[in-house]
Amino acid sequence: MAASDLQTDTHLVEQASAGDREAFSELVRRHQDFVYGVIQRLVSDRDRAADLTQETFLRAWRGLHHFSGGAAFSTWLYRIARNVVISGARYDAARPKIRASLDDEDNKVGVGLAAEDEGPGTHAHREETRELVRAAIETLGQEQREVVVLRDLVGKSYEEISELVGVPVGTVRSRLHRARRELKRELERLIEGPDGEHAA
Amino acid sequence: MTRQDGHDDTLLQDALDGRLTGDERAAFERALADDPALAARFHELEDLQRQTASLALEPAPDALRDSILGALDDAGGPGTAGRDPALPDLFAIPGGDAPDSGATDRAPGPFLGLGYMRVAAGFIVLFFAARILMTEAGLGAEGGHFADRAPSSRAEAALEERLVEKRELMTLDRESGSSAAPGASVRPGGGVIGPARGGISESSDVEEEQWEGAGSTRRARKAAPPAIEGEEEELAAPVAADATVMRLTVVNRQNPVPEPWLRAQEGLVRNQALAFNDAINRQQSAGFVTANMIAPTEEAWQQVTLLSAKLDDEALASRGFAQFAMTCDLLAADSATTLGSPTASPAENDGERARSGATTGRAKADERKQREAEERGGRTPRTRGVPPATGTGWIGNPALFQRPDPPAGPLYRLLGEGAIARVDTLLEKEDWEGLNVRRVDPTATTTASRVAIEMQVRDAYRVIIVTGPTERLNALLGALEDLEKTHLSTVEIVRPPAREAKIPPRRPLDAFVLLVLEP
Repeated sequence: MAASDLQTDTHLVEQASAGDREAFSELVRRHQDFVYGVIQRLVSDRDRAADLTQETFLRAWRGLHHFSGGAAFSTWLYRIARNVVISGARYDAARPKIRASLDDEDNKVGVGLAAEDEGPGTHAHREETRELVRAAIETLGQEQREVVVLRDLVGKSYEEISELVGVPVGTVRSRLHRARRELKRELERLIEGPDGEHAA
Repeated sequence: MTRQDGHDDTLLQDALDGRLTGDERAAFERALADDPALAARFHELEDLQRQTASLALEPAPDALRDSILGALDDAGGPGTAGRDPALPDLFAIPGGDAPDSGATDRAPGPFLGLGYMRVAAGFIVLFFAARILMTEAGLGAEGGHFADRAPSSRAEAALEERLVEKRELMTLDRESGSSAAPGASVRPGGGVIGPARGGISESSDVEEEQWEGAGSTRRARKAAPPAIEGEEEELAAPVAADATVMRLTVVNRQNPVPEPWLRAQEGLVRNQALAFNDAINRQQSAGFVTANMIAPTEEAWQQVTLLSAKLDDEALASRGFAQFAMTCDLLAADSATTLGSPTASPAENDGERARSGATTGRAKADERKQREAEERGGRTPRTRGVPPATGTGWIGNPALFQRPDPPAGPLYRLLGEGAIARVDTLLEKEDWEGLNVRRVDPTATTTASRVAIEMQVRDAYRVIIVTGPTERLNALLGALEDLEKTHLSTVEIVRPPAREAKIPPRRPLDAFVLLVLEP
């Protein structure tokens, strides 16, 4: 185990604030998967997610002196990421939409090999279902998508989501409820197909 | 879906997420056994969650870390961020003691020590503030104003008391700054600034703190008065728009919303929210992007956050972050008038409120303007819409926006007519009077892809511009830099971050300019 593994985020932040890039590098290592993973699910675009993740860490680096320790570093970082995503969304809203479509292979996520205990047919069905779920998630509004990602993909508790997103637990609950209802509806629509035919 | 279905779904979700108590769980399982339809829906939901969970988060690309670390070279050292609107104000994060969201920890020693000192200082200041308040109001130690009333609930009384305390703290700040040289004012965080522009000599630190807004949380936090324990979040200075919801949580958790008070305000704000949303939709459909605005007062923030508790789920939740944030900002701006005129001193506002009871700040502002106009013997100013071009409430740098038409200021020329409809819409509200917002052109209705809002708050000057095309942005930046040289001593321009860091952007990450101009 590396020595840096034993250090808390707070210690690393203190060191990084003093200009220690190694410490910040360790913070990046610890949190990049979470930040990137969530952003990627929120913006549905790998390149853009990478850009926004980089932007998040750069802003965190420049703003380390703003981190007061009043909350976990990961929470602070997530808030920055969230603001960066929101700013990006505002920017996107003013631009012509040139976004990756669902058919863009580069942006398909999680397409894996068949497990040993499943046949190719089962695997194909599983992948197809996953694609449908992914497509359905992308139809959600950003707030709903965020809670679904944090709850079902990341596995955060309601309380943790509340802290990360900055809304009461009750709001998390209601957003999640609405999101799942929307997901279900959208999945049914996708499975039925546009003409009511069974597509999956 | 019936209402009953909706309740069932919520129950199903709670069961799915393991949020039922033991008894509830047992009852739920009995219900599942008795009701096949319910069981089927539960299994559907279970399947859906399982399928969703199967979409694991994708790990960051291998090269990303190197890319980030490489970009640090161009980003400057830590602590180089100015007023970065993306940086959250952690004073506003609810549930500071909530479980960590990752392998992280809490700040040790120094932070806690500072917190205790703040709490202790807060108690001391609040004590003296309360004494001064009662003395000034002629109420005596017996209670007077508050003792005469029968608050509908303890929570309501507590909330009102906090607001009064907040105002009084501001009053103390004002008094502490009165020893500065004539024509100068003292910032809450220390330091004397020069006389206000345009003849406004009363550049109170109170007002400055009140009007601190998005992107300036660092100074605002420094300027915040000491807080008492458990209220630090609420008493902190206004924070970025997207922090609204954070603050809301604090209010809900620690200070139950007084329902009668909430209900009294809810209708007003709900209508405003809907109207704003309509306006926002029209603007966005016309190509505008959402602009951040400055939160006017701490009180307004409190009110808005409380009210948005009701609005969040029902009216605004589905509209996305940007619209929600902006609506809150606009509501905050609107609430400022309801709470009292920002141009009046806190003591004046307090006194007026105490005397007039139900009279709104807007009505009082109208009355005051009417009275002032009569005293001057001039025409009656408009109480809504067009701000007066001159007068004590209106100061400005004439080089920026010129009136009457045709506008000739450099910003106007750069922004074009697109900004006009937007600003015009905003300026239709009387609430902007205290902000010294200049209407650019009241007649233009054309659209464009940029929005400009200019505000001048006493001695602080702030422009938040959301831009579209990059070439226009560059031109705008150039013009603003010229302005810095010729008209203003301090200009802070927050450029698109990738450009600032000299990172070749694969795509522009952002395209807004936050400009803060201070004399």
